[in-house]
Amino acid sequence: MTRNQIEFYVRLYRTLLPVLSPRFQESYGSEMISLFRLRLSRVEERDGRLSTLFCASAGFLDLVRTGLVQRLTEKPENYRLPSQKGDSVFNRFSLNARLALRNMMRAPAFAATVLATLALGTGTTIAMFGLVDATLIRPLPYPNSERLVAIENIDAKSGPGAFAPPYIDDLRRRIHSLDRIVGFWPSWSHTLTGVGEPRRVTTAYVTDGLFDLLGVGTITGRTFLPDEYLRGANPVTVVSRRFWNRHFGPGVALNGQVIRLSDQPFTIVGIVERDFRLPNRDAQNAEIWLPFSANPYANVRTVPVMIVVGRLASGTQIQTANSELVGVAASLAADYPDTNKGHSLLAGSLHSFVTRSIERTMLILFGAVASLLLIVCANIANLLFARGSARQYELAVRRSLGATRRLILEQLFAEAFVIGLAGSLIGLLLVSWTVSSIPSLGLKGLPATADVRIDFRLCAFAALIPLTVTVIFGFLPALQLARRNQEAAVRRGPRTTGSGRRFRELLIVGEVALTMMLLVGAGLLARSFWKLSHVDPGFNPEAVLTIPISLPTTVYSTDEQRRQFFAEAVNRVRHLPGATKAAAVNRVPLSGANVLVPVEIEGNPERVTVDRRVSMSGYFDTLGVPVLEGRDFGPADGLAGERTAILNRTAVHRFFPDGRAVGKRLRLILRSGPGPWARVVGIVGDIRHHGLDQQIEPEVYVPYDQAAVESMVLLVRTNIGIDGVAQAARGVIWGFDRNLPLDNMRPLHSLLEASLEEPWSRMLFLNGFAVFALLLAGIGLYGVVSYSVTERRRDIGIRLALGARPGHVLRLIVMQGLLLAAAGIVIGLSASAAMSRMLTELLFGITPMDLTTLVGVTAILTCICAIASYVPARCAIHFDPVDVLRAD
Amino acid sequence: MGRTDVHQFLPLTALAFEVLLAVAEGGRNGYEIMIAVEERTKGAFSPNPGTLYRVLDRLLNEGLIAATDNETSNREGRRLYRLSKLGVQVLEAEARRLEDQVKAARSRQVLKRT
Repeated sequence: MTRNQIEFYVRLYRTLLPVLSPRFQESYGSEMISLFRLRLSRVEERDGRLSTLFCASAGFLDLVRTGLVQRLTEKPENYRLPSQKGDSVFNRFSLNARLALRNMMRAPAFAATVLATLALGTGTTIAMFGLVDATLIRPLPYPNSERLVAIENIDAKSGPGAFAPPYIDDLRRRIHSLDRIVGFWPSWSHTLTGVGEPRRVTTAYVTDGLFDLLGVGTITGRTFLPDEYLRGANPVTVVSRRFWNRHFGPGVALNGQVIRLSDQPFTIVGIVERDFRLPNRDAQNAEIWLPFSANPYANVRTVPVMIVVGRLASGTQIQTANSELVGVAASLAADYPDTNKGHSLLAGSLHSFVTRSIERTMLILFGAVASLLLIVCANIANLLFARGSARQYELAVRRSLGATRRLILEQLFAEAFVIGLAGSLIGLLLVSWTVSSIPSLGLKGLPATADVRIDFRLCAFAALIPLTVTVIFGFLPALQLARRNQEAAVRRGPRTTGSGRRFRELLIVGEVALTMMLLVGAGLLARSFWKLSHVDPGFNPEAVLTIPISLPTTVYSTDEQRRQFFAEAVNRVRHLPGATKAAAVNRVPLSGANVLVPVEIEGNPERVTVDRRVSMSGYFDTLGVPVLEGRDFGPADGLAGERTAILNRTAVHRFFPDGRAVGKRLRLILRSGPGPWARVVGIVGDIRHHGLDQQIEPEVYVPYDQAAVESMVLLVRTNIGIDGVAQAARGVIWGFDRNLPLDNMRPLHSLLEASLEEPWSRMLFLNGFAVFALLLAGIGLYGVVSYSVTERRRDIGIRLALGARPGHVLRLIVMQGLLLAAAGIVIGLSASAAMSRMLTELLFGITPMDLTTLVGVTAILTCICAIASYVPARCAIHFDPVDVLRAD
Repeated sequence: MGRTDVHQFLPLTALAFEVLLAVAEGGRNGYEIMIAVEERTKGAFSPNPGTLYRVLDRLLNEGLIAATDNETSNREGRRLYRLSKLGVQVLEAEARRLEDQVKAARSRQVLKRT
């Protein structure tokens, strides 16, 4: 047994021996083996088997180190070309690789082009693959995540939505195919006081069982106890580590610390694990978690503020759950007809619930990057193929001097391998650098759970692409050579054949076609973005400062107090130096905050739904929204007089087809029931509240004096710049109440910009790829044309010698390039048309077959191709016929 | 060989010095060298085959040792290595250099005289 063990080690040692240079191996190989064997036997006798293993391992390491050191320090006279006899595969490969490195050094321009193309191509592909992997492929970071489902409450009229909190109990009672049902709301704004300056913070509400279901633990402390989820329980909270460190300090122990949220005390009972995110796109900023019972709408059946997630009972399919949900929806509609009539329930995998908003974008971008990679491959293939063809002569000479086909194949393989490896390494470096500095690569709208990171699979992906490409295309010329008569190749000299040229031309056509597709996509997104950014938002966002203020109800408990505060605040801010106008509204445009309420119009029993906003006198004037008919709110619209309301134009069009709305009455159906009748006193222009690309919804404005809510946003128009007025406004408001958080003050136009961020980043990504593709296609075409020009030097030289006009020759060559480009453009256009449906969803204001875009990108691509063909053609007509002919 | 030639090889690495010492007593094969080095250094040095043969290769190239050719190698087919004339001189010069250093250490009370 021990003998066998030693023999096994010795055999391994012998296998490793080729790491030594052939000379060294030849001189000392057998002695080293016998010394290794004797040494092992001695250790085995003296110290036993384990020590033998250590000794053998040390011997292996020593051998490898010796090989490396000795190969690096070997003197140059020991270099030689590999020959098949006597050299191991490893050794031949290492010699070939060194030869390849030297060849690359000798043609630095070629090496740099190939490496840069490969590195950028693989870099972008890996980065994009990393994003797709993080968002679409990798399972959600929760235990048993494949069994988690999201239940959606689908209104036949307005589509999928959330649930009102009390429904969770109904769902838990009625659904049996899910063994756990939990609910949460990912983002709820509160004013944080009690630690540092007051500020707005994002909190999340969770029901019992959620932490358990999503496998969330705490670093210190605990999550909520069952009792703490009940109404009236001690108010408690758990916070993120980041929050804890920022407000209490990293080393501070958890000891019943209390924070105040909207002036209510909450005791911190635990700090949750790092990186925990609720399964929702809006969960990114939540750093404080509260029991759902603390939510102001916890018991309200009309306000949908709960996302419901469940876990399929073991062995249950999602279809079973869905068929059960049909019955549940019917029973809910029967029990709560006011809120649930016309609603259906649908369970879908939590993964797709989280990722669906970004799925289309990701797939399109991944498609784009895959096309880019194909273009990179085609370009690399072209470059390698051109080089390979140019070396046919050299290879043919080698063969005729006795090199076997296998040796030549090995040489080309090693060269391709070295190039591919270097390209992938540089690409990987680029990616690891970008991913560590900007994980989402600047792409907006990723789900909160997405965690982009470089892992083993990414590295493997990174290594595989360039290696495959270079190895395949580095090889082709060699295979071609093997088929051909070398004698002819030697006699013909360094020139290529028809089949090589045709192959490269095909590559170029493909490359141009792919580039065309990318350009069409990028062009459409760019034009769509241009249209979007030129949409009239309905208000003038320039030079307006927004100051969100939330009055704590514990301090400002009566409507009168709140009214007084805001009236005084607006008045004081309006008179600040530099302020020209000021007003307040409860929801500013494009802030993503909207409240839908049912409305009853006098004389029409059917209720309609509108967006309700509370505004103060001067709001429309401050924002530059035209009052189309009637008037703005004024001092008369107080509690003493008649209730009043203002409608936007869309509401008038929709609910008063005759256009006569002023003077009519309507009433809002509030939480407490139908409100008093209010008379319409004015009609104002439409504002794009929901987003520039979203439909305008009917809106009703009510005067602040008649609906004193606690949260309002002060708006100040200024003529001295936002910063100038912001400082003064802060002073004024803190003069009233030092405890109000004012950290969310920002210019109104930043909301407009924020709403454009996602389409902007999408457009930027695709356009980046397209420009890169355009560049590559240009280089590729340039390569093909200039190569064919060099190849036809003789032909061109003779033509010129026989009196052909240079202009004619120039046209001939440019036409050759343009013909290839035209073929590619036509194919690319038809492919884009076939794939245009993919893009429809992301476009705004144009169709996927937008003529301007198509004509524009065709022109751009044609221009680039014309330049790429013109430059080598210019060189060709400057050939001196005498030189060319003499060279032959 | 002149004095200057000898000095260009100095200082020797610790292992090279040990190897030269080991072959100073007569022709030895690799295994015997390894054992000799191990014994003299009381196990402090136990060169692995790769390291040992890299040193032997260098010493051979520099002409400090000579190897028997394959025909006259010992019965296990292993060559014997022995000191060359140059090797003797280099070994002696290195020993003197070390002795000088040791003397210097003693005179500064770094080493107590035994």
